[in-house]
Amino acid sequence: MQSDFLQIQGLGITLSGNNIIKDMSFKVRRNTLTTFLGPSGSGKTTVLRAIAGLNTEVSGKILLDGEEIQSRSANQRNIGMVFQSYALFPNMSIFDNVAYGLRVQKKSNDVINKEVMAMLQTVSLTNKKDAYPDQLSGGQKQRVAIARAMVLKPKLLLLDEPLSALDAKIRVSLREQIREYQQKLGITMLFVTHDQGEAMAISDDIVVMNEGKVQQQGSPMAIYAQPENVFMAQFIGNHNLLTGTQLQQLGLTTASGQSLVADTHYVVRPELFSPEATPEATAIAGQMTTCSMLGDRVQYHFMSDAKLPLKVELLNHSEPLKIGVPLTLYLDPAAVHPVGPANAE
Amino acid sequence: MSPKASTRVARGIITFLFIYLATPIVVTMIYSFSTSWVKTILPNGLTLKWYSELVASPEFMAVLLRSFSLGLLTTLIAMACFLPVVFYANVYNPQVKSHLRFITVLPFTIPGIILVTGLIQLYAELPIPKIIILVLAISLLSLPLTYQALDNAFIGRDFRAMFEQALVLGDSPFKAFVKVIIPNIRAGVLVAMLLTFTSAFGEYVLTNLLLGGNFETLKIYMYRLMRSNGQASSVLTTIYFIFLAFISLILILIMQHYSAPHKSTKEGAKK
Ligand SMILES: Nc1ncnc2c1ncn2[C@@H]1O[C@H](COP(=O)(O)OP(=O)(O)OP(=O)(O)O)[C@@H](O)[C@H]1O
Ligand SMILES: [Mg+2]
Repeated sequence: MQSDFLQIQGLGITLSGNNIIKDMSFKVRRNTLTTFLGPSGSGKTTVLRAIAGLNTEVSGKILLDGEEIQSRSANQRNIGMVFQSYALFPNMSIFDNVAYGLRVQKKSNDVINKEVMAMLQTVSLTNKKDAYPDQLSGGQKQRVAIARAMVLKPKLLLLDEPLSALDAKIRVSLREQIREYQQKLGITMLFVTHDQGEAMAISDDIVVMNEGKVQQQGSPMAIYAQPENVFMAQFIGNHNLLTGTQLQQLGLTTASGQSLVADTHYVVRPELFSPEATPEATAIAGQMTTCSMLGDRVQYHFMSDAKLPLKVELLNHSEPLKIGVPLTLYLDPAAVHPVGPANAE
Repeated sequence: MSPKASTRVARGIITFLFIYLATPIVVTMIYSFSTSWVKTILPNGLTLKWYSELVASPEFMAVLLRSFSLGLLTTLIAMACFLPVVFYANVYNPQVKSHLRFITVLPFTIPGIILVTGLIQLYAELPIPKIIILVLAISLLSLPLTYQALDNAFIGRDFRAMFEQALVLGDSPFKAFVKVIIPNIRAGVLVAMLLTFTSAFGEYVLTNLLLGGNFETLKIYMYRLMRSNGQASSVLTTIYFIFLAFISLILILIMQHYSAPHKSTKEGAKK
């Protein structure tokens, strides 16, 4: 079992008199990549800055590798951070940017030269070592920023939406590279994003936050398939959110014959409906009202005869289903998942 | 009106304005070189006599020195006071910028005479030399200009993130300031210094009201000469004009040099 490397306990943050984060707790395991996912304005940057020591009005505890660090200043924490704006130093060459932290540590020139060149090799930028930040593309700048942080071998590397300014193709390839560096160099990373796909793709663990609170923490699979509250059910994926009463109207039950609770919420993932019957499945009659092509999948809106709309996604492998024609969809009861703990807001 | 005709009209207006503004300067310059120029269209002859006389006079050197020290002192005080404030506002607390913008235009709205009366009443009893009051007052009056010029130096880059990044990389705030802030605001600070210097160098109202004849600066001397010796005053005006033109040229060069990103990076590479 990996130990809890970073522990946030009862964190509270006040910014210009506003209490932005209240009593937040979560953990990051050693040598994992944990993403911090949440809608814009939910306080992700604020928490990251507090961990790095850039926010001063902080209450609660921050433990890194068993040590309390919340009262240390930013330059005493041995934490790396990559800013959303890259924050490269325009007056220094790429080499000097990457060497900055090593020079602060008064390493010898030989050591600096060796480590910086090795790091530039890792991020494939050796040929740009004498260039200046203004001469680099966005993706290259991003890699310099990551190299500059990683060369110090920080205990923890914080990345604040490091890919948000890049176009979709580069974003995918860079996120895979970041994941690769993380695994190769064995760095613990906390990665902020508001992109679920990004979070799902690269994380060991996802912490979802909203309005200054942790909503759920878990593996990508758990976050996707077992949302613990209504916010999670609405935020993640494209789930159908239905009450027990509505499920009864559709004639659905849950797996192993558990009885439905009338005012509890349940989620049904849109890709679990099927147009073909299976022995366990329940049949739902109705018709498709809209159809949109997503490439690999086709997204439908289905209106059941019980007058309940459902979101349905099917793999794009055959002729699309006809709109406005009566048809039957099938759903395995195992696909109905209660939105857990009942006390969720 | 056809586009051609409107261009012609625009050109005409610009030419007229140019002549209107340039004539007094040109005439003053010619006058400063002429042996005598009374009741004739062109001067009788040209000479450098007025220049050598003025430059040789101890009075001239004294006023030049006074104006120069006034400019230098004001610039140093203004930078020492306002640069930290602008840095703080841009890097630590961007929210205070809206308040600052309001405060910094206040000096515009206070007429010099009221400021001087207020200052004299406030400090008359205290044993503070008036020259110090003057320097502080001029620094204060330069605030709108200095603040704006300094603030411009922080536009275009995320200095807050750069500074915080340096801290996270382990540097102390002071070293971070020296290594990543100063080199990137150099040009802007230089512009702010030159502007502040020029405005303090040419200050007239406050100096005259507060110290008058006791501390004759270039401008006060210029007005005194105007009444007594026309030619000497035209020499002084010419020198002053050339000085201002020179400063403007430097400003334009600095701005051109640093607005092209490649230039600034090449400049860095030379080190
Ligand atoms: N200096 C500040 N003073 C007061 N409120 C602030 C300050 N900085 C941020 N906030 C507020 O704190 C909340 C969280 O901001 P934060 O930048 O942490 O969000 P975020 O999750 O990083 O959003 P995004 O995805 O857009 O970057 C926002 O509502 C914001 O308005
Ligand atoms: Mg943010």
